[in-house]
Amino acid sequence: MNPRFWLFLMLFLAQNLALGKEPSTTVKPESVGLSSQRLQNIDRLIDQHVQEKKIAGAVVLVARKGKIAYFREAGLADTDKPMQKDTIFRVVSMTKPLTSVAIMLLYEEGKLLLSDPVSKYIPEFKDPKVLELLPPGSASEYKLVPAKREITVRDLLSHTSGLLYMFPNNYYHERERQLVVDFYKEAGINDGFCRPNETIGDMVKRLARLPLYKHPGEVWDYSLASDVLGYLVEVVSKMPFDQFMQKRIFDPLKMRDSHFYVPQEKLGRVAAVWKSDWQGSLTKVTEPMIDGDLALCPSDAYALSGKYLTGGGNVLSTAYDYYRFAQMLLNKGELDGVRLLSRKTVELMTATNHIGDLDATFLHDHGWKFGLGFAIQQDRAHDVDAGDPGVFEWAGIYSTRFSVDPKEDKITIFMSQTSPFNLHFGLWDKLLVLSGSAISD
Amino acid sequence: MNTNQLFKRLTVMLLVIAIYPVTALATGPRIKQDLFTPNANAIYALDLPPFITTELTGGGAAIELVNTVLQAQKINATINTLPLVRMLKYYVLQEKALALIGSHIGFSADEQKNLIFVPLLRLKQHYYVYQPKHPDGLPWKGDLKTLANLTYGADPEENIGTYQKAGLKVETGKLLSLLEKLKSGQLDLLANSALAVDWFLDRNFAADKAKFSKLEPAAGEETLFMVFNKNHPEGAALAKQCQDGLTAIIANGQYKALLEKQFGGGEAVNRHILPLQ
Repeated sequence: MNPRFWLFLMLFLAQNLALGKEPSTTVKPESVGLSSQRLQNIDRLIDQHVQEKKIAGAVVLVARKGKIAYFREAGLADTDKPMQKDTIFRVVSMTKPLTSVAIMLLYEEGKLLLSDPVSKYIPEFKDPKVLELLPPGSASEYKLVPAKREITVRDLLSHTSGLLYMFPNNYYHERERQLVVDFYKEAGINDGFCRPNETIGDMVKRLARLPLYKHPGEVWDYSLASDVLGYLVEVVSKMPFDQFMQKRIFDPLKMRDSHFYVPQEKLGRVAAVWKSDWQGSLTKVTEPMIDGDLALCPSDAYALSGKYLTGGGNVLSTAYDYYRFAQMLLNKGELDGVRLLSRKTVELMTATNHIGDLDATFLHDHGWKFGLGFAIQQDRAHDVDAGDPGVFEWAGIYSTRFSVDPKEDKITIFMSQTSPFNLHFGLWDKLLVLSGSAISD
Repeated sequence: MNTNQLFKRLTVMLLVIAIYPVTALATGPRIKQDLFTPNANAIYALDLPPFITTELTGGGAAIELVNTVLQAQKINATINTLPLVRMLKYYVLQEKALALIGSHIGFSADEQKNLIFVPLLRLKQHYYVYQPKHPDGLPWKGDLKTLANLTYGADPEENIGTYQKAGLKVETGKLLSLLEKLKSGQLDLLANSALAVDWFLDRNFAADKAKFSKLEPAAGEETLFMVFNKNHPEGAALAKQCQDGLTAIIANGQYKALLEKQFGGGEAVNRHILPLQ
């Protein structure tokens, strides 16, 4: 047979088998309307943070018009191990958008409605009670009143359920929050950053019967709602959550390095977590980090298996894998010919406002609303600005962040593994300024 | 059809549309929680698998027993199973709920004055150790003093005075966390019903189950109660009715049959069945 045929066939296979793998090259930024010169500002920003030992290392990816234009690693992934483009990160809360997509897959199949009460699938959520403070001097400090309505699937997606996370108790000091967190602690509720020896269903069924912090729909509060959604996926799909995610999201999107438990052969690619004081003191973390009501167990990521599968924070992934997920959303549900969600569903998820007059102020500030799985910028009249109204994004507690700008057809991904996360807002925001200001068309 | 006829027909049609009640065409209202009146006879039960748990159809043996009694006595009540003692106490003491179901509730002497205790099940307790830490078990023959200086894991509401008096150190926690501590070596022993321990060993420690050893003789006995609230308008009367109902199902064999169905018969039933009197 003609040798040129074989050459053509090999090239064809090489190109197609490479789909979904980390790309060896990126496109010239100018070909997608980005300035190479201006993108170098990102090099400087990250290198400076590495040199100043604010972070050990990072991977940054900027894509526009469906092409990766900037993809760079810097610093260390672990002691004496340089950061690589395919380094695996604990993306923690960036699991939440993945979980939201899992729910929307079931929604598109008619297996649930966003207006369904969660108790329809998890009966323990029936007849929820809300903790309300009694006036000072009362015999009891609080009472538990029937919720005005039940928690719906949509409440869970938009964090308006009245459920809480425990760790924000470190930063917000309302008495009701403290009391509800006390209930959580007593019932052995776990924020999911450490993996207990039980199933997510065990935890959710206890959580469901504890008092709510506020009436559903009357509060936006970042919470364990995504963990509940993960269990809801199990109940509705009748599949373990990790298997559902593998089959319905990771495999179709060719997210080949995304896992709930990393396989043995990839453990060496998992980045270490570093504790930074942002002043030059950077130490690798191996033990659990307990800070008030925040408990982090970075070493749990090295477990090869386990039964705790949280929709709020268990996934480990790479910058490239997460880019593929973000690109699917930016493409309104499709990537490389694989349609995961319909255009209409992605439009619903990324509609600017699902929370009315409330604001999604946890990672952002006023002017940010919440969709069905991510924060969405509503306007540009406020301090925290990601470049455009309609930008949707979320982040992870070990300092990972993704940002999708539908208007500019642009994705920015930052992956690091540094704690505490609250020192990183400036770095993240600067990165978005730099990726936005590199737009040249 | 001439113009007059058309006009008449149109007029009739418009009149029908105007007069016909629009609501008759609508579907019923969407069912909201506030359309229902809460049941005045609320009973709250404390998680204690496999006796009380939302994991089992029927709610577990204790809940099935209570439901059988309620049905027999034609008492209309709802049972909610909750994870925390604090919530049960809240509902009974503050909201004046009809009753609670549980063991180790820890009411004060004053609080007990307003409560009526109806025993439902015996919970024979056994000590458990983790073999890798205590390969030869413990010198337990019935005298706690032989376990002095060891660390015992107790339920948060358990009366720990006896253990402290015998010289044991005590740590408290829920059964699952106590089992974790037993495995990690932080505890030397804990006590609980064999069925309750097996529930968690099967679900959470399946690979290590054989390493958790039950000691003989039994450590003692706890009682799972239905506790009625005298401050509920019908608390005392319904307590009497339930006590009568329970006595009746013990006498007619229904009680034992239900436990046999739940526990599979044999020794497990004998460990939990109430004495006939």
